[in-house]
Amino acid sequence: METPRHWRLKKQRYALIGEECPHCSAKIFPPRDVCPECGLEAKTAYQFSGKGEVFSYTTMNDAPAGFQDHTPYSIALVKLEEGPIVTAQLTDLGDEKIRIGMPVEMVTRKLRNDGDERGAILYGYKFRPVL
Amino acid sequence: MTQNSSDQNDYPVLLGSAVLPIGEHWETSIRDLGGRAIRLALADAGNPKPDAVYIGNAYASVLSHQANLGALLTEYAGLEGVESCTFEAAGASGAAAFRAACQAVQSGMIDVAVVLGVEKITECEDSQAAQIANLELNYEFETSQGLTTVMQAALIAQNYLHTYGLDRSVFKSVAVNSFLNAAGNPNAMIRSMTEARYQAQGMLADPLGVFDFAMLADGAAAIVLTRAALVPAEKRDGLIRVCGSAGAIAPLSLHDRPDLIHWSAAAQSAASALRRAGLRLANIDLFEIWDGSVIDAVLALESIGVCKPGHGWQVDPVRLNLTGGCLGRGNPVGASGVYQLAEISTLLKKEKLENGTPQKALVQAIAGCGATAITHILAS
Repeated sequence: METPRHWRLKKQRYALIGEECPHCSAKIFPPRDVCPECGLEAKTAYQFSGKGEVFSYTTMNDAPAGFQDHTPYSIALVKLEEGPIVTAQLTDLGDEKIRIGMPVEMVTRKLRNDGDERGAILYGYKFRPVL
Repeated sequence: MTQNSSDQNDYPVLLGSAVLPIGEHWETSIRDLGGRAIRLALADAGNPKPDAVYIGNAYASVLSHQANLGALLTEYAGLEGVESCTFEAAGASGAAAFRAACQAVQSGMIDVAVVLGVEKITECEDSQAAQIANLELNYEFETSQGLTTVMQAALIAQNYLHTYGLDRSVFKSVAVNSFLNAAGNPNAMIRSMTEARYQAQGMLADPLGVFDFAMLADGAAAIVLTRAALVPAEKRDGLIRVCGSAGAIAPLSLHDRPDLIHWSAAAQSAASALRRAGLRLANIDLFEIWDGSVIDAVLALESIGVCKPGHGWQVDPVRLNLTGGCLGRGNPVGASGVYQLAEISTLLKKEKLENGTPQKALVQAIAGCGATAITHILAS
């Protein structure tokens, strides 16, 4: 159980809130203290649209602990419309074959159980093909 | 100290080394593995009295439930009183410890340093060891999404193949080169390989299969270093010297990297090490390149500048990973950097002794799919 961590990350996991650099206007996700574009301090909150496209992807056949229920599952690097790249699972794929450049959008889904079956269920962002 | 001195007498030189066979050492504890490697390396060096033992290890604090290896292993090797601590940089831990030893002896603060790389993987189930390897990812934004080290390599490989319009068969030459070279290394873990066997492998995470990744295994290797000035002139000529050393980092998370397939840390650390050695890539005879996965080797070769972008899979079997690399040797993660350096120095020594040919080698350890790179230039 890692309550402080899950509490701290709720804005990112549920609402995709990152930052906009007040100096160079770069959009940043996940939030960080120093803007990767201009090197100055960044701290203005910015909510991303959740729209983007698949930049790279893979499907895992041998899942780590906590993720076995979902095996096999696919993870992508999703390039958001606003610029940053996010690491996230792809979901609701149906028969659709994943391809680089595929338009996707953020949805909230169960990520995993924290610890055993009595642990908290963690929710967060995943991405699905645009409806 | 950021610049290697131009004074030849300050260069770190290798007095001796030892490597234990890589494998599943069920009967041996991390204490035995580490202690043995230290004592064997000191014996190989003629039993000098060490002033420090620098340890490269990545996972002992979790897999062996053991912190403070410095006190545990160094005392176990019979060196009570000697300064010792651990350096951790995931797969580059051994190289980090070696670089610290170079800085220590070259600066004059330490006269004789032992570098130990040690990793004990087989204390638990395979799945737990694989899980621990994921510690090197960003926990909050990668691991918690279900990303693993294997998937990280696969995401990069997918981007690589897409960018250059290639298919996964290009990785075959990289893997087969390492596996074939390992056949000549008595300390490598046996994993017999043929092209047909490689092609029939199962997919772990597309586009990479089981033989595209080095197997995690136990191992320990050690090297004894001093600076040239402390070695009698008549003995100096036969020793391997470290003429360049440099490390660099890049963003840990793939999503923070502007380019997935140019590894800036690999490029920077190699360029700095060469510059400090006063050498160019064209002067290098042998390359010992990190191949924890095939894509590691491909992108290291391209980023260092040995191969053009998009051509890192066209390997030169005469000069690349003659030891078998991590793929062929097996990968005791935090120890692998010391294996690379110890085994290449043995090859350089042998070539000089048998054929009188002095050679130079570039040895690079990489952690976290390009997040950390540490490069050394060795010369006979």
